[in-house]
This record gives sequence, C-alpha cells and structure tokens, in this order.
Amino acid sequence: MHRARVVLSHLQGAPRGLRAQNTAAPGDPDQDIVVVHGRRTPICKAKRGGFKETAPDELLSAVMSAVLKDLNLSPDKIGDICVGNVLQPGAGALVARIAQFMSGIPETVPNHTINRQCSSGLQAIIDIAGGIRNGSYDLGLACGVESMSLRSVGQPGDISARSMDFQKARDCTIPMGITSENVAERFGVTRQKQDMFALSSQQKAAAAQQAGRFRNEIVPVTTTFTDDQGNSKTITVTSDEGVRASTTLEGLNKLRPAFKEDGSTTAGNSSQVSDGAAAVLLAKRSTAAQLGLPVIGVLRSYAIVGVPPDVMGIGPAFAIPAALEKAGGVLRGEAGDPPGEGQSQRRSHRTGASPGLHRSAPDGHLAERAETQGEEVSAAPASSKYKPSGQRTVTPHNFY
Amino acid sequence: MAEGGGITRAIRIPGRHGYAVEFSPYVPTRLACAASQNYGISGSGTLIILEQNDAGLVIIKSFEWGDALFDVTWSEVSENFLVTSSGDGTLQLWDTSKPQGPLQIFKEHTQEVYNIEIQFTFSLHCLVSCLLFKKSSRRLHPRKEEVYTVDWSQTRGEQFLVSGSWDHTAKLWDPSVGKAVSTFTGHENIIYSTIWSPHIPGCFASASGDQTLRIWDVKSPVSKIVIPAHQAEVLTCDWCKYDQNLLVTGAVDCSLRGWDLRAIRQPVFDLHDHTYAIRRVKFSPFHASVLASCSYDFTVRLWDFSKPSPLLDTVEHHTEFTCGLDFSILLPGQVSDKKCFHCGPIRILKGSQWRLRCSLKKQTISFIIREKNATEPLYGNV
Repeated sequence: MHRARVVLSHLQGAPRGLRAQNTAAPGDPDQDIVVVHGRRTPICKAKRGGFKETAPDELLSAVMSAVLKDLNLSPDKIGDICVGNVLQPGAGALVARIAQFMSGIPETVPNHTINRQCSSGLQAIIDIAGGIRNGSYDLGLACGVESMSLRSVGQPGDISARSMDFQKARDCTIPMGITSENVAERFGVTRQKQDMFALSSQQKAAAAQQAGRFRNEIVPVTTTFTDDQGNSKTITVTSDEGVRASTTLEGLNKLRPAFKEDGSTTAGNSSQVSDGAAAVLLAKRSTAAQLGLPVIGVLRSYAIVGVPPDVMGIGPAFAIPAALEKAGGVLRGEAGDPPGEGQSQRRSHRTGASPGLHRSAPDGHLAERAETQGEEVSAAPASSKYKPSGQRTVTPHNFY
Repeated sequence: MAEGGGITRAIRIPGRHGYAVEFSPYVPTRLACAASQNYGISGSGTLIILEQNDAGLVIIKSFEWGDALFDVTWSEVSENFLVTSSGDGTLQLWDTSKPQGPLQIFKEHTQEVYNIEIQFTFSLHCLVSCLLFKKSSRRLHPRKEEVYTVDWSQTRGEQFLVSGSWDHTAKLWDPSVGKAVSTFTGHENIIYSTIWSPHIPGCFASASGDQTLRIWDVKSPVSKIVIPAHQAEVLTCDWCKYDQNLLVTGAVDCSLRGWDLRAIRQPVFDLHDHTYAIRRVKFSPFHASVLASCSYDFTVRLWDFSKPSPLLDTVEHHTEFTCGLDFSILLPGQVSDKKCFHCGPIRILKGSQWRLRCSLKKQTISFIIREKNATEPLYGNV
C-alpha cells in the first residue's frame, strides 16, 4: 500500500530532540557515499616518540600504499585525493603530492590539501564526499597527516596590530591550554570529573589495544629513530604510544596543572601532541559495487559549526548533535540538559557533550561495527573558524 | 475568530474524504471539492460542486471517478470547467453544465512532446471547440503513479495546466490539445504541489518529498532555482499575491517557511505551531503578509508573518486531518473593502494506523466555510 505508506510517513509529528530526515541521497541508495576502506599509522608522541624524526610524506605514503594494496585497486581509478593538515606550510600541499608519488599513484590523479585545524582530516573526508556528490568523480581518497615533532604550533602568521581591537580576534591567540581552562570554568567541569574521564578513556583504550581491536587498521611503519644515547637505529612502530594501561586515579590526581597555577588541566587529562597519518577510500555506492569493493559504512550527514575561539574545545558538543540531526539519528546515552525556556530544540545538546563519542573511537571502531551490522556513520567536524588550535572530533586523524 | 462575528457553514458528505477545495473564480458562492473514498488510500473519487446560500452549503453537482481524486483547479477560460488530478495517473476535465463527465480524460501520449518554444494563446471559443470535438479519450499522464496536484495558469496570454506526480515529474499540459507539452525532471522524490506564479508568465513552483522547493520556467526542462527548504518532506507551497519574489512552504517538520527568490540561503520567516505535518498553505488574496495553513493536526491556522507574534488564529473545527484550504477571491460587496475572509477547509484522514482503521467505519466529509463580518476589520489592524 504505497499511498498508506506515504501518508503515514507524514505523521512523525513535531521534531522532538534530534529527529529529522537524513539529507543524503534521498531515495536512491546507488547515490550513497560509502566508506570502502581505511588505514592509519600508529599515533606516536611528538618530539619523543617513534616518529620524532619521520617526515610526514613517509607517514602519508605508508597509509596511501596500504589502502591501495589491501584492495588491490589500480591507483588510476582514484578521482581525487584530499589531505588534511595544519602545521606544514600551505597545509602541506607539496608533502601530499610527494607522498602520492612515493605511493605509486600516477600524476593524472589530482591532489589537494585542506586545513580546518583539528578537524582537517575529517574535512578531507567531507571534501571527497562533496566531490562524489556533485559528480566530479566516483572514487576518492581522503587523508590526514601531521608531524607535531618536526613542526610546532606557535607562529600565528601575519596579523595586524589592529586585530587586538576586536575581542574575538584577540581570543584567537589564546593558547590551547588556556581555552581548556576556560571551558572547565565556564561549564563547571571539575578537576575530579576530568580525571575520572581521563581514567576511563585510558582504560577503554588499553582494553581495546589488548583485545587487538586496532590491529587491522594500523599500518606498521619502519623508520629511523635516535635514542637517548644518540644511537641511530631502524625501528618498526606497530602500536599507539599514548595508551597507559597502568593509569590510576591517584596518579592523575597528583599531577600539577599544566597551563595555569590553580587550573585543572594537567598532562594526564588533556590530549597529547602526536605524529601520524590516515587514509580512507570513499566511493559512490554504485561504483563500489561495480568495482567489487567492500562497503563498511555510509556517510549520512555532516555538520560544521563555529564556536567562540576562547572556548574552542566545545566544538564537538555543537557539531555532533547537528550532524546527528541531519542524519536523523538520536544521541544515545548522555543527552545533555533539557532545552531551557525559549531555547531552541536544536541547541538542546549544547552542554551535554557526548564525551564517549569524541574521545573514544578512532575510525576503526565505527567502521568495524559498521562492517558487521551495516551501521551508518555520521561525521561532525567542529570548526572554530577563528582559532588556530584543536578540537576533538569523531575522526580517524585525531591527534590528541 | 469563532467569537469574532464569523459565520460558519458546514456540510458532511458520508463516505467521502476531502483532499482539496477551491472557490470558483467566477461564481462567488460556488466551491469545488476533490474527494475520495477510504481516505484516498483505495476506492473511487468524487468531484463535488457546492453552492453556499443562507441555508448553508448545498451540493449542486457531483461526478464520480474510478480512482481517488487528490486536487482540483478551476479553468480560467470557462466558469463551467474544472480539472482534477487522480490516483491513477490521469487528469480529468469536467464540465459542470453536463449531466455526466468527464468531458475529457488527459493521459500522456506514448510519445512525449518536449518542444515548447511557442507560447500559446487561446480564446475561449478555441478552447471550447477543441475540447468538444475531441472525442478520443486521451489521458494526460503517462503513468499509473498518483497525480497529487494540478493548477491552471493565471497569467494573461497562456492557458496551461501544470501537474505534479508521485513519479517525481511535473508536466505541462496544453488543455486544448490534450497532451503534455513538456516534462520537468529533477525532483528526487514525490511532487506534492505545483503552483503557478500569479505574476511571472510561464513560471511555477513545486514542492517535493526530496525536501526542496523548485522554481521552473516552462521554457526550460530543468529547474531554475532549487531551494533546500526543509529537512523534511515539503508537502505544499504557494506564491505571495503581492510580491512576485515571495513564496511559502509547509512541511512534515510542522513549520512554514517564507522564501525570497532573491536571497534563498535563509528563509525570510519561519512559523511554528502546528503539531503535525502541514498539508496545504495559501497566501491571502487580500493581504500581503497573511496566510493560512491546514495540517494533519486537524487545525487551520492563520498567520501574519510581519507581526512579532505571527499566529493570528487557530481554527479547530475539524476532527480529522485537514487537507484542503482556500481563500475566496470574490464575494459581492465584500472584496472591495478587503475585510472579507473565507477559508473552506475540509477534513479527511485520521492519525495513527489504529485510528485509521477505526475511523474507516464512519467516513464523512465536512465542509466549513468561515466568513468574517464585513464591517469588522480583519484582525484589528491588518
């Protein structure tokens, strides 16, 4: 009964919370943008870890090659490559092109880079998805790479003295650690709460690592490493360096604030600076089927939001609900405060950031689940358009 | 409004559910209603012509059709002609002066004609003769898919019909020839509503389940403007009668949004209050900023989007889904002072599946005509 179905579909009622129709490819599943495959390097500690002397083109090339090799895909099928990067000059346009050639991808495949700060890698996915959606190509490679060992955050670029006359412009130069303190103060996130969260994050990561959950997504990288004694040697890095199974709440509580004397952000409850790379192959569903490629997820929606630069870390708390709303999904678990008087439903999840979402799962998790259950994946890059610093988002290229 | 000196006239027609209601542009007291059995989900359809008098509403004519009728539009060339759209993919031209109908059934020829370079102009005679001598039964829509909407152009120098179908296409028909002269593709889901611009010749708008509002020029098979109007199915749209760039859309997300064609990135207004999908919206013929909407929430709401609190009135006289709505553009002695207001909503389906089944037992159609006292200003300071 087609007619009965159509009429009943009109009766979902007023939107409550985060219900909405998904906006992707209405009607025609062949037009879906699907995730075919993704690989990443281990995430290493900047300046001290396994990749402290490894150039980003090496990291990028490792993941690009691995994706192609796994799929046995002829590289000339790729319609475009987009690489997200923040610290290399010009977002690493040169580095990305060099990595492409080191991976055996011919010059006929174009390549560009993009910088949306911490969500650059995720933006690369959106970029490629956009290219597929508008019909420019049917298959594209989205990547992200960063070496925080070889490049440092600091030089803001050329800005005028007059910028200091504008409050928000001035806020853009606030160091990341201080913006974290601002978030903690403004939203009442206590030291205890942060430490508890850090502990559970460490425990989850350790459990996942121990269970071998990252094994399939990590590309082992062989590189040169100089140890404390100055001996140069060849090593192969196979696992993430930031995970500490031995973390205890007592240990975290003892750490001194890192950015502000009476602050609450410590080395134990904040993100580490990292080196690493990742690559994800996206395709139109019909093309994936044609080439016999696997489908491990569908990109249903994405959302980009701007937030005040002095509390830039709240980005995901705005972007994730927006992306879910577009996807027609509902936040499970912690759903945030109910909307206040006169506050729109759309913003109701403002302070109820879904911490589990943005801290826990690198892409492999989502994809793994998707592979078995056909689950759909939403992406939410959070943009602080003003602030050259990081937010944490659901992204495979997330270097805490 | 119920207390505001208004007159309410109602009629119940057993066994039928109304889908659309339209005032005659010729006879001020006359109305046409497209109705269907079984909530339009199965069964036959009926075109009902009603007359309002002191006694209330009276049926003066009714025509039967084998499938549900979803929309009706009055001809702009003769007071006796109407066109309906049906669930079987056809359009029907009816002549109320005839005892039986339809005069002609419009269904697409096997070959579609795409060339529409020439703008047609017809005199009344030309059209009538064409229609009267064409006895072959041609059906205007080529498919079995439901045709949910039909509209007769109102700008001078052209007599076209536009229809929108569940097959995702809109079609332009030349009623004197009895075939589609153009097909408009681009929508990616059901088209629920196609409405001619009252200002721009050859221009119409369409609302679709693909969540967009599209603006078309009959000279081009692709849409000129695509507006992602809602994040839900868009069920209805209408043009402002006083501003050629202004449209309104109503959607499953329960909101009405205004769109200025010169700046389509943001809606110019966003009206919330309905609690279920909005089925039909129409701008007032008398006030640039007044509009009326009816909804699956059983209500008809009146709005003035220029006001800080835009909801003027909520009319709750229906007990089932309200699908049809129209303003009268003429009533002797009342049009000129611009204080007269009518809306003729008709009621139809019930809510959830459970209620849908239950209420099948007592199918009724009810018409309600509301009329403002002519001496009383409409809504204070409109």
